[in-house]
Amino acid sequence: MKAYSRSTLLERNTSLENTLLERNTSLENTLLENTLLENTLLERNTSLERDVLLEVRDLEVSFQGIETVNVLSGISFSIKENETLALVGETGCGKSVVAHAVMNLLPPESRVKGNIEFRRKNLLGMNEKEMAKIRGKEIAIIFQNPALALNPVYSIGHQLAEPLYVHQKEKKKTALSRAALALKRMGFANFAECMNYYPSWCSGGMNQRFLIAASTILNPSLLIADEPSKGLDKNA
Amino acid sequence: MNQSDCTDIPCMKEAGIEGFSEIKSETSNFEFPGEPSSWIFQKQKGFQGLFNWIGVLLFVLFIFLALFPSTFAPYAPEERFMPYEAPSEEHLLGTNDIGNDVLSELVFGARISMTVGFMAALISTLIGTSLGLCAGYFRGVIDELLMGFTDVVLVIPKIPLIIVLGAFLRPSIWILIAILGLLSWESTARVTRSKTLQLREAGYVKSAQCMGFSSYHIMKSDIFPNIIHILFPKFMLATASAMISEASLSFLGLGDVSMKSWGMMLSFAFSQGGFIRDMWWWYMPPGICITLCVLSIALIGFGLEAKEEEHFREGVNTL
Repeated sequence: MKAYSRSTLLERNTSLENTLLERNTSLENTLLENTLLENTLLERNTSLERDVLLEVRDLEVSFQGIETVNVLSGISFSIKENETLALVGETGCGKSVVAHAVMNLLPPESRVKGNIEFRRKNLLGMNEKEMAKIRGKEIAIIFQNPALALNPVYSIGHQLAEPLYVHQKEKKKTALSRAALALKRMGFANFAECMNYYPSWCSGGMNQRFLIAASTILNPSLLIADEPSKGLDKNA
Repeated sequence: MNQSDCTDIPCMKEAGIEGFSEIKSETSNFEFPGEPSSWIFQKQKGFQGLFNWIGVLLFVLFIFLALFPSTFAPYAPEERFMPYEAPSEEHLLGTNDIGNDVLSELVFGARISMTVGFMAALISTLIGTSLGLCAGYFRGVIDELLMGFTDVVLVIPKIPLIIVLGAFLRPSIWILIAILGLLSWESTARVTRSKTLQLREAGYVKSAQCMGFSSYHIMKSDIFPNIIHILFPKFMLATASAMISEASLSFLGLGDVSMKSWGMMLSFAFSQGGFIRDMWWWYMPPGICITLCVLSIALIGFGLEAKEEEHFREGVNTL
C-alpha cells in the first residue's frame, strides 16, 4: 500500500477543514454566536411562535477589585427554540462575559444582577449541583481557545466519550463509537485514528473541531459558541 | 484507553499508519511526542541520569530483598548459632548477641523498614492530596478551614509526640505507620492546593464544568491526573523521611521488638554492647542499608522532580 507521510496527512486534514462549515449546518440551529453589546444590534432570523429557551433581562455584570468596574449593563435578549442569535462587537466589549454569565462561570469576584432564565428557570440563583444538571445536557459552550480547553492528559476519544459515560451511562463500546461518529461528522476522514490523538499533537484547527464535537455530543438544546470557527477555514 | 476499540484496519490503512516507523524518518520536521504516561521511564542525561539510574538499581535490589527475603537470607531470622561471632564463610556478617545471623536479620528487616516507609508515605500522600484538592478547588470557607487545620498539624512536633504516645500505647509498627502518616501530610496538602488553585482556572477544567460534571468527577479525572507528576516525587521523598523517622524511633526503643527492622537492629546493637565492643559487623550493615535505601529513594525522587520541571516547561505544542 502507499505510505502517506505525516505532513501529507496534516495537509489532508486541513483540506478537510474546508468542508467543515458546510457539513455542520445542523449545528447552527441553536447557535448564539458571540457578539455585540454596546450598540445592541440584535437580529432575529425567525418569526415563528416557539417556546422561549433563554431569556436574559437587564443583565448587569461588574467586577469588584480595588475599584468596581462595570462591564455590562442593560443586556436583554431572548432566544427561542431553533433560533440563532449572533452577538457582534469589538474585542473586550463583553461578548464572552455574557456567554460565561449564562453558564454561571464568572469568577467569584464578579457581581451579576438581572435575570437569566432558561426554560423559565432562573439560572443565577442556582448552586453548582443544580447547574451541573443543566450544563452539558441543556446548555453547552464552545470555548475560544481549543488548545487550552482540551485536557492534555487524555486522548481525544476519551474526552469525547466521557460526557456519555457520565450523563447517559453509556457502555464503553457504544460511547466510543458515538464519539467516533461525532468526529466523522466533523469531517475527519481518519476519525478512528484521531480517537487516539492527544491535544498537543494536533493543530489548532483540529483541536477546534474536537472541541465542537465534544460540546455537541450530548445534543444540547442551547449551544453557546464563543468564536467557534477560529482556526477553521471560512471559504467552505 | 483501549486502542483496538476505535481503530479499525481500513481506517488505519487509509491514514497510512502501517509502516509508521519509516515515515517518521522521512519527515524530520514533524514528530509525535511520546505518550504522556511514559514520561516516568524516560532516560535522563548526564550526572543526574547516572544518579537516577543508581537510585533505581539500588531501589530494585531493596524491593527484591523485601519481597523475597527467604531466597536471599542464608538462615531463618530466628535460627540461633554461637553469639558474637565475627564474619566468616558460614556467617558472612557474623552473629549478634543471641546468636542470630546478622545477614539474615538484615534481609528480613528490609520488609519491615520499607513497609513502614511506604505505608506512612501512602497515608500522608492520600490525606494531603485529598485535602489539598478540596481546599484548592472549592476555595472560600473550606479552603480557610482546611489550611488552618494544616497549619495546626504543621506545628505539632512529630517525634516528641510519638515518644509520648509510645509511653502509653503498646509499641507496634502499625501505630508507628499511622502516626507518621497522619502527621506528615501538610507539605503535600500545601503543594497540591497551590497547584489546584492554578489548574481550576485552566480551560479544560472550565470546559469540564460546562459539560456538567460533578466537582468530585472534575477533581478526580481532570485535576488529579494533571498534578500526579508532582505527587510522585513527593511520595518518594515522604517514604525516605518516614524510613528515617522509623529508624530513629526504633533506635530510641519505641519500635516493635517482635518486628525487627533495621532501626531495631541498631537499637539492639547499641543496648547489647555492640558499639562498645567494636563489633562493626553488627551495627554497620543496618546503618549502611538505611542510608543506601533512603539515598536510592531520594535519588529517584530528585530524578522525578527534575522530570517534573521539564514537564512544566514544555508548553502546549502549537503547530
